[in-house]
Amino acid sequence: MGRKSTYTIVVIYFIFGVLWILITDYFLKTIVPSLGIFAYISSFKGIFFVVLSTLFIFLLLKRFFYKEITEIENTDKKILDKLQLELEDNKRIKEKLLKYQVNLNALIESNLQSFVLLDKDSNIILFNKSAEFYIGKVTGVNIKKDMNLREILPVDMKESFTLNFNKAINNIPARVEKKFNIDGRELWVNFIYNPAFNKANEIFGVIFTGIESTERMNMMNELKKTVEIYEELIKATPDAVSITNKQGKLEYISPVALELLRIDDINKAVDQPCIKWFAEEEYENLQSNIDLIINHKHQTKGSVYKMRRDDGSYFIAEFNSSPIENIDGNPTSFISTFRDITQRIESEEKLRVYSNELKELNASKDRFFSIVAHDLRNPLQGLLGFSSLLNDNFSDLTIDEVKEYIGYIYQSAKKMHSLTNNLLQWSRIKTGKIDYSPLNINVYNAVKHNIDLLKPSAFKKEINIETEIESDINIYADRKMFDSILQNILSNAIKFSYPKNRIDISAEINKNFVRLSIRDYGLGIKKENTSKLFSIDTHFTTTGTQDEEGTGLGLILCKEMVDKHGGEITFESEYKKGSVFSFTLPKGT
Amino acid sequence: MEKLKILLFEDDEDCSFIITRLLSKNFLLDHSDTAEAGLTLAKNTVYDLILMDIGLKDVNGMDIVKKLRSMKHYENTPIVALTAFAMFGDKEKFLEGGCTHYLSKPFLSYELIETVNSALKV
Repeated sequence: MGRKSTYTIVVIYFIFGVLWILITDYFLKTIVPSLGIFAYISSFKGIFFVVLSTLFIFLLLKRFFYKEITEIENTDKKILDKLQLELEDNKRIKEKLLKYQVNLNALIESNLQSFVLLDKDSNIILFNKSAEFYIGKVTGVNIKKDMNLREILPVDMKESFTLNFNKAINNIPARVEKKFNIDGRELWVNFIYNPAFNKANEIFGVIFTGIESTERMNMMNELKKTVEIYEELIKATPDAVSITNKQGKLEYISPVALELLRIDDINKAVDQPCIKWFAEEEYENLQSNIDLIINHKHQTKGSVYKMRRDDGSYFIAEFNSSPIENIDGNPTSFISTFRDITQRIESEEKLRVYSNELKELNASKDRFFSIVAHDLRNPLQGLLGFSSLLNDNFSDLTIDEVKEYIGYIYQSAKKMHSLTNNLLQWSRIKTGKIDYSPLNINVYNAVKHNIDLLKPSAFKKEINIETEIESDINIYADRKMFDSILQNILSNAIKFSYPKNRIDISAEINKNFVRLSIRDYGLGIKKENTSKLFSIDTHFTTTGTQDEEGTGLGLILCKEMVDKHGGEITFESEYKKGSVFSFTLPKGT
Repeated sequence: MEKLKILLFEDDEDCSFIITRLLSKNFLLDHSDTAEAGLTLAKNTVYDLILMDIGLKDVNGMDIVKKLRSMKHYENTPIVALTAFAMFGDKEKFLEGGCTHYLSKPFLSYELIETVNSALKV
């Protein structure tokens, strides 16, 4: 009710007013005909009054009630609009629900997954097409709502189904992988039994899903095969293989590695710090290398470590290591291959020693040739020169001159003889062709024998040789060599002694060796010449106090022979005061 | 005609005896068995020829050759290297080092005389 109702009230009032006046006037005329014209005048007055009052009412209504009425009208309209909106909302929700249902259906009906919702007694509540298809294939039954799934399953599946179904009912989700042969195709299916909850969070049944996992299983089989190949590879390789994690603990160790480290039980190694198998001095180096591999993704090649076996023995190993990165590209562990190179290192060392020996031998040979070429030429010059003088001038020479020349020729020949002898002896020692047969020798007797041999030359210079040797000292040495050493040193002592000097020979035991010392009080050795004595390269020789000559090879020979016995030869000397030459030889019994 | 003067450096007695014996007929020969004495002789007398044993006991004959060549009198004097060093390359080494002739030991009498004569161009 609004403007319209206002108008309605006013119109109705007006019509009723007019009708009322006309009716009353009509009855008044019939009852009182005498009124005549006055009756009509009164009607006009009445109508005029009605018109005026209607106008008055209209204005009154419009003034006091119109606004209120409009408000009421508006409220009504709002309610109507709201109702309409609600109606539209409902419509939209309904559409949404429909869409949702379609989505849900699409989800359920997707071919990837078979889906059956079962109640507590394994009766089918809901299922999708995929479930219908596969269960049909396996059981030969077209499943329908309210059918009991357990009942229709083949016997071999029933037991497993019951077990896992019961688990799910008790809120323990279960999962089983099973192989089928469907339409001649091998199929792997992963069955999942999940409890189904209602709104009150109570289990009302089981959601039974089956997902085909043939591809996954094939991949797993492939993976297994690959792993087997790698395992075979690791077994076949002669190198040891290990995988160590970031923390330096062993994750894997190959059978070859176990054998190499002499570990009888793999549990002694796996999950244990790898440092256990390294020598202590390697720890620091190892730590920095692990840091390099893990934190800087370095590959290390040919790192050499001293390693410790389980039995405590050591060996040298060469390592190649590379980081193993996880999916993010961060190294979490590293793989190492290593091998025992102890033998190789030993061989290399042997080779080095051998090569040095060869070099030395070659140098000696060169030296030998050079000595033969040079030193033999001088005495040969004497031989050649004097014999040619004799030959060319024999008739002009006096008998004394001839005698003199013959004497020179003899001296030269003698010099050549001793030089060739020494050279031969030296080359024999150098090439290892000298006879070396050590035996027990009494030092006192052997020294005495050699002194006797050299007595003539000592007697010439009136030199007295004194010995201070206990009679029970024995050496274990080659007799010929011992004589040669002692004669060389003793004849040197005589050579460089002044006439009427003394020579002292003494012997003392020093641990497993016997030290023999020969002291003279003669010429001695100039300081600058001391380094030349035992060196074949400098080939140093000086004449004695009475111009006695030597070959320059005597001491060199002595050193070689003492070396052969594992002993050492040393000397102390002061120029013009004398020298002491000492050498050691193994103690005898 | 005055005899030509020869200085011999040689510390092997046999050798120096033989050389003296072979050359003293036709030449004036002085002999020294040490570097020091020989150089003193060379300073006091001007020799026409030097016979140098390279393998002296305490000094290398080539060092003496060097010293002689630095002395004014001996810039162009013929020097015969007289040596037992007769390995491959030795001769060239001595000739490069200042010697003009080379005679390896042991030598025969006529070889020495021929070498000396050719060095002195007589």
